[in-house]
Amino acid sequence: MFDKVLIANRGEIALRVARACRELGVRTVAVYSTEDRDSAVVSYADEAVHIGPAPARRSYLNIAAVVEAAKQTGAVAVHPGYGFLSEDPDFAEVCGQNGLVFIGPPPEVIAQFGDKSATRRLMAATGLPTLPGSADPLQSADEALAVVERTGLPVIIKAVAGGGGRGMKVVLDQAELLPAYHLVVSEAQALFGDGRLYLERYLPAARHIEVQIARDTYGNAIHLGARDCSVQRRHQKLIEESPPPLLPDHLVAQMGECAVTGAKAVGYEGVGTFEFLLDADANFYLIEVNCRIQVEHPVTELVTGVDLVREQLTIAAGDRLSLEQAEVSCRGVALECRINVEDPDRSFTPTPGRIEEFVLPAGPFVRVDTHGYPGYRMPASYDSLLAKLIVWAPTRDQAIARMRRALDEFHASGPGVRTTAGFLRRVLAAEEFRAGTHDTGLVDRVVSAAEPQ
Amino acid sequence: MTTRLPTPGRPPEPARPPQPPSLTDSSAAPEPVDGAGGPPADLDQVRRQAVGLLADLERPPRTLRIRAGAITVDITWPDGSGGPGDGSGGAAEPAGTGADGVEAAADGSAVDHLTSPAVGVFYHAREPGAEPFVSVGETIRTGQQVGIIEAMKLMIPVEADRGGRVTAVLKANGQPVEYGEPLFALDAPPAGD
Repeated sequence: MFDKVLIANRGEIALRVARACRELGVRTVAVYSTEDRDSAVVSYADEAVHIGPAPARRSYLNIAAVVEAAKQTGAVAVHPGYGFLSEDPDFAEVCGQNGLVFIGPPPEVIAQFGDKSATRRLMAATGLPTLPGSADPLQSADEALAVVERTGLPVIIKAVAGGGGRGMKVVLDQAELLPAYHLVVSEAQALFGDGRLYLERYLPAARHIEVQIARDTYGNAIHLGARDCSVQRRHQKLIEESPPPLLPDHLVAQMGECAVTGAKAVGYEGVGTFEFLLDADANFYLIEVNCRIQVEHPVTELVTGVDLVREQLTIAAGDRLSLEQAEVSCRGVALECRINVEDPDRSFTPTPGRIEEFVLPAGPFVRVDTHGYPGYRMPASYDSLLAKLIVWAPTRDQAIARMRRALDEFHASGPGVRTTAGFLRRVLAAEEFRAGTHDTGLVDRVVSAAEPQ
Repeated sequence: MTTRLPTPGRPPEPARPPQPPSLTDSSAAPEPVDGAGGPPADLDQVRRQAVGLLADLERPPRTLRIRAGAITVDITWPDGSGGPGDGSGGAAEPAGTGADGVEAAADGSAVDHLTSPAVGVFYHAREPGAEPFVSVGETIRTGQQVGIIEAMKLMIPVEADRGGRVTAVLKANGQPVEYGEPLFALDAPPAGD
């Protein structure tokens, strides 16, 4: 195992990784921007290195600064967390060139899956089901029109380099296609520095199901069940669960086999996620592959008993997978609620600031992953995720009841600070969520149900 | 959190190790890393520099952090808006900003304020170079957009929650603001607004 690992991230995931390292006896180096100097991971880690000012571009995205910090502190490996440099093939490559182990798949694999259009082409060639759409990045708006002739409407236009629910637009009507095309081009250019787009058929009432996989450097691969992430607002996930409700085991197994096949085809190493859309007729289609640990990984951990971050570290250190496919079993139901500092009554406007009151739930089968503490100042420069509440129970009904109990115990407040906790309670109470029949349209329905008054 | 100095007994390092050869992220200007680079500064020299720096400041800072190894100087100002431990004063702001807004507000006797509805970065105009939403001397109405606050990559419009004539703009363009901090000073609202 590594002697010392640098954590190239911030917030709750930096702390999550530091904890896994500590359990393995691995020393940790945190990096931080000026605005994060009082963050939880900075005091938790064995060492901390200041790498730049608040803007991520000049700190958490500054490859030179991160690599230098690793070299100066004698770290031998780098864990990138999620977001920031986690899916930047250049970063993975520079780590390698500097004698640092990048904890994630090889740079070529990250590059292939980072290009969503290439992912579609590559995975279709491997035999995985994909949605009808463009085979290559679109060259022009006219080509988009031609593809739509073939696929029919609605379609979704997406940035090839997109991610995090940004740089995409649904087109329901032929007349919206050209404006949408131009809008997403400029958005993609601004957000990702890459204006290339692709499009595929849009499934309005689909469920978002993703499969967790792990593959070691010896070619052993497993899948660790599926997660349902259908509770989304504007393509941002709010509640995730495992296993997906009402999804027959044989479908989970089929999707799992597809994911493992895809992972083997590209020489994947580490943990990863294959995201699928599932339509009402139980057809599933691969939409993208994520080469990082995901925000919602804890629900898989609670049902399988596998520590995924530990698995990332051991795989990167050259160990074999800690278990075989036959040993993977999913027990009970786990739910995760993402609590963001946002105001649900003002279209989820971010509300960073000082969190004066911060009370966390506890009790049986409740896990909280957070970097918050009483007095913590949630910076305005980064994302709005404050805490992840995760619960486990033998049945889904009990898990929902437990989550509602945990949400009731959660309190965070401060000047100007609002959280999504109350809104999440309303989603949990929605009849279709309780029944497990919801799809990606649920949040909009809960929002609009609250509006007319 | 306490300032960490480079581990004593660290093997000597070459001055300024070479930057990684293939930095393809052109946007990321390589920037010195704390604890990286230059030969560890002599403690006495650091002390002398710190004393000199303090002497040059117009007023005492709340905190001064210095890091050896590679040089980082980090100053926070007592700006009155936050309590102890408030790291929000804006690190390493040039001396002279920070408390200006508060002083200006204190000048007028019965001024009204438009305060910040959010934590973030305050902008006067829609985009760089554009006309500011409001200027000193202008009379504004309730609900009128007076600025933008950038928080978590979103641009949040700031609307006046009262009307009046703007007598001072208290926060510079591009400056970090706290929740409830005064942004504009106003004369009493015109009758009937």
